Amino acid sequence: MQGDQQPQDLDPAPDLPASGVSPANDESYGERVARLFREHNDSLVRVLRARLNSPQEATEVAQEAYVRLLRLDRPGEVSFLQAYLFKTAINLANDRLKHKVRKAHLDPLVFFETEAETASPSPDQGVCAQQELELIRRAVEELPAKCRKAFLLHKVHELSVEETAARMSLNPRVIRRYVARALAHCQKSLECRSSPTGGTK
Amino acid sequence: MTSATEERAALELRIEEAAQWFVQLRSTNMSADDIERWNDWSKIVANQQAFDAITRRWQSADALGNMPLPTLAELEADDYDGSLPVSSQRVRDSSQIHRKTGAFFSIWRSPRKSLAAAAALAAFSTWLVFWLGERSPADFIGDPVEVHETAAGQHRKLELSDGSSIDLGAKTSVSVSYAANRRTVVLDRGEALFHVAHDRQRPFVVVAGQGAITAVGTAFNVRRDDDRVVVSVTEGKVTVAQQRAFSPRREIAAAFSASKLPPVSTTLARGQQVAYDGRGELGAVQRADPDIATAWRDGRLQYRNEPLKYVVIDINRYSRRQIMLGDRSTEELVFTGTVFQDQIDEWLRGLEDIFPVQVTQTDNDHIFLQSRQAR
Repeated sequence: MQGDQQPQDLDPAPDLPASGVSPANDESYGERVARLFREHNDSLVRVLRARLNSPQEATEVAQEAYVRLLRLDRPGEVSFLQAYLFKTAINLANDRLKHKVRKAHLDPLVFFETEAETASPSPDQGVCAQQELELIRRAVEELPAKCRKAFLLHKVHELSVEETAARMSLNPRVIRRYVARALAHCQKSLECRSSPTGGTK
Repeated sequence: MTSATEERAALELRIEEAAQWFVQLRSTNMSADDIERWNDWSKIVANQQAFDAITRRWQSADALGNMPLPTLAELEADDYDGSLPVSSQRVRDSSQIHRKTGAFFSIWRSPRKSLAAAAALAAFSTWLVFWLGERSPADFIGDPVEVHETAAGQHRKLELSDGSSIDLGAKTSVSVSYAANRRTVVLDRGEALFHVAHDRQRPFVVVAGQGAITAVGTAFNVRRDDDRVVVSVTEGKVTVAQQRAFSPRREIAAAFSASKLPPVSTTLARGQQVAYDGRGELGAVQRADPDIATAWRDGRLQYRNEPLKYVVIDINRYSRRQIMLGDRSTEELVFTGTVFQDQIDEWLRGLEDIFPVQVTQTDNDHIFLQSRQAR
């Protein structure tokens, strides 16, 4: 292929330095990044989606993280490339969230805009948004009181897990447990209606 | 029956796991160990589906805004600590309520009577499930969903029960669900050409990304590259609508600013094409040769002024080696031409001549394309 025809030393690539890796290492830096991408990109994007609430943003942040990885000056010094990639991406996501919050305070129009972007629930195989919301509302009503409170404070009132924990005088671990149980309950209520035979995939 | 019950239990377990992962990933930092465990778990397709569903629920719950918080009395009466799924707790709760009332107390003590009471409770819950089921609207997706997938480089034709057909491109996945008043197909990924049998009573709806394409009887091609979707009509007419919830705030914002809201839906005729992005924003309607849009069925991928980013996503569905783009300027290069599905290597070799890019093979499975200027 193309790469084979071009001797590496004719065109040294400062951005993709194979030089940072010891000759004993069979795998070049570019290959390591490519393998990371191939094996774990989906999993990385899912982590970012959980944090960012918009698939578009998640993809953008993941991409930026790869670009940063490829631009590292001395990649040889990064021994845990995968951990580094995830950490970089999560930091970028956190930056974005902070930036967004700050902007929202400054400019109401920007706030509207971001609100509109994040508030669009994507359809599940044709379930319309209102029906989905109704089922979720019913599921949340069914939750035990403390579990419901934790979920609403964290999700709707946008308190962090720690803030919610302080408000309810509980351990953050318990709050996470409540929120997870609440979410699972919402999803099960939906699955109940959509596939009576129990899973079609 | 047992296998259905087991399947259901497995699904519920998966959902619980997915929800726990979701909460953990959102609110804590990940150690190297966490990342390993997460990658292992999320490798499994069923887990991915459960996790993605949980992510969607989280987003939809945004609209719960006005739900009241529980009262102090409710909180005090509640002893749920989250160690079991909510559903198990609710069964326990209901038995506790019965236990508190004197009449039921003796029933739960006597084994025979308690058996009868349990049976009655089971009968009641079955009835409740049916009753709730009845109440949901008819077009709700209580109908079986069939999933069809193709592998890289593979094509397949699906014949549907109503006489419609779907030509699946490579690495494509569709979920088909037919109800009495609606035919729904979700294009999860890839590309497909739809020939829709005429039925005015049952519109044929293709959901792809953040949009939906509705037809009564016609033929059209839908290509999905990640979040971007391109719809081309080869016969008749279709309506393309973005799947965005109505947001009053957005309307207000638009009223205050000079910018106009993008159109919510548009109608396409034969020879027309429209694209929309991950936010469901519809682009301008363009003229497009139907033969070009469907050339993929004959082994050719044809493009006119297409950003390289999308060309590559498309080609990757046919290529054993996955092409990766190294920088934004390469992604934005505009490509016009034909790629033969069985001659992708030749196409790659020619790229360096027409674009300022360098093609590097990083390993047996990957090819990097990056700008020559960037170095």
